[in-house]
Amino acid sequence: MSELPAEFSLPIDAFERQRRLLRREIAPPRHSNRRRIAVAAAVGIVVLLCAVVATPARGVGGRLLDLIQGTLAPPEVQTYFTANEETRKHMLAYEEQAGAILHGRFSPVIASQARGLFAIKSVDGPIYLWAAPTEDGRQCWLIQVGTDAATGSPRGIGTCEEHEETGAIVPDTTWWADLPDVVIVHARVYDDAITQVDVEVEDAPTVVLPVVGGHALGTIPKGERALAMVGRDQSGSEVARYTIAEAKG
Amino acid sequence: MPDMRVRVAELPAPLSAIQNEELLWRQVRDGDERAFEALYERHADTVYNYLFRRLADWSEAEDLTAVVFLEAYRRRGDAVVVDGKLLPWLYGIATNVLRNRRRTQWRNRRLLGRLAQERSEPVPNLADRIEATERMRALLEQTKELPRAQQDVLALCVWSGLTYDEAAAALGVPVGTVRSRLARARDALGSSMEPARLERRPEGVVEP
Repeated sequence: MSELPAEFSLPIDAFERQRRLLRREIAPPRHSNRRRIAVAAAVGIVVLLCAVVATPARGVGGRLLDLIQGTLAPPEVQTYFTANEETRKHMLAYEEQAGAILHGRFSPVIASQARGLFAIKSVDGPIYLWAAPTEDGRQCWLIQVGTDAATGSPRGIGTCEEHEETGAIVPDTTWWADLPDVVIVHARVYDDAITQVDVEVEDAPTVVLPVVGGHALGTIPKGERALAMVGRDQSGSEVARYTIAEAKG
Repeated sequence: MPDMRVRVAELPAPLSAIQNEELLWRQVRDGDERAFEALYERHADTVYNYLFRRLADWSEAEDLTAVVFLEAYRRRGDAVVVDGKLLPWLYGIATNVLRNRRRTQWRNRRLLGRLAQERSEPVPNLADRIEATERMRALLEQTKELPRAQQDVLALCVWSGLTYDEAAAALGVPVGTVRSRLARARDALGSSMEPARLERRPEGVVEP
């Protein structure tokens, strides 16, 4: 049998031509102003109809792209979890030295079991929530809002459970991610009966977040003020309430 | 819970730096055209060479490379990432494109028409390419009696260097099926099959 021939690159002009044509093929269709106005009018009508017909005070905290529960985290995310272990140890040791009342307990994270829980589409781009168990059965998680340029590692913020929790819901009230148009709302949910978390927003409809793997995640528009998180069971009954802020006036 | 948090750098990532293609593909799925271009840049040559090896025709391989990527974009919701790599899935699409060549060419006639209109530059390494074409035709002549499924496995595992797992993902069949098809192909080709001479050479290695 004859030998396998050597490989060649796509001729450079073909490469550029294909790239250009593919770009054109996949570009979202451009609509005329007339069409845009028609679409805007149609959307407006639908929104008005929804406002009239739908149950009041029910919103959506960012469009849920898909529930990625069970999706194994990519290596960069797994590395993120292990990379923070030294910092965690250091912080706990510091707490000990400072004589903190709540003594934290360090437990190594099992990064290989890190899995995705949420993928949310927001106007500021996708937001992911990854979670990994620790050896003592607790959890570390990461809310990812982007990717680091130099290393390819996820950009976001993560934390680990190192102290006993007594509440049914522990909201993330440090709105840390400086995104231009949305604020991330997140809660760790410890009561299995809670299947949804309502975020009550001042002068705006309540945002409903689903609970996946003990987490609720969503967004509210920047500038809006979350007042409370309410955990509800399947029948809609209130199971737990966490007040974040008092309403003005 | 104490707020033990670690901030990481807040710079946007260059897409070419993202090694794990699952992340990159998620961006494609979310409509990021630049992420799609980054994948095209990364894998266009590999897909092109695979298509050439199945067709022994550089020009058609060139056209179908564009078709493979366009099909991949259309099916972006179904992507399968194997060990952080998207290439096995692209091989799978390329194999399907070859199998349903007429249908996919018809479906992508607009793109193919534009490619044909704009073709102008002379092909580099023309003499080498002609020689490669002849050699590839001879090879395909020797494998043409094999069932199509065995040809696919031979082209993926032996000519393109995919692992059994990757070939299984590309073809959407169990790993055991890949192994048995390859074994049958080797048996059928018998002594004319010289794996060492058939395997894909590392890039940049030129035969004396």
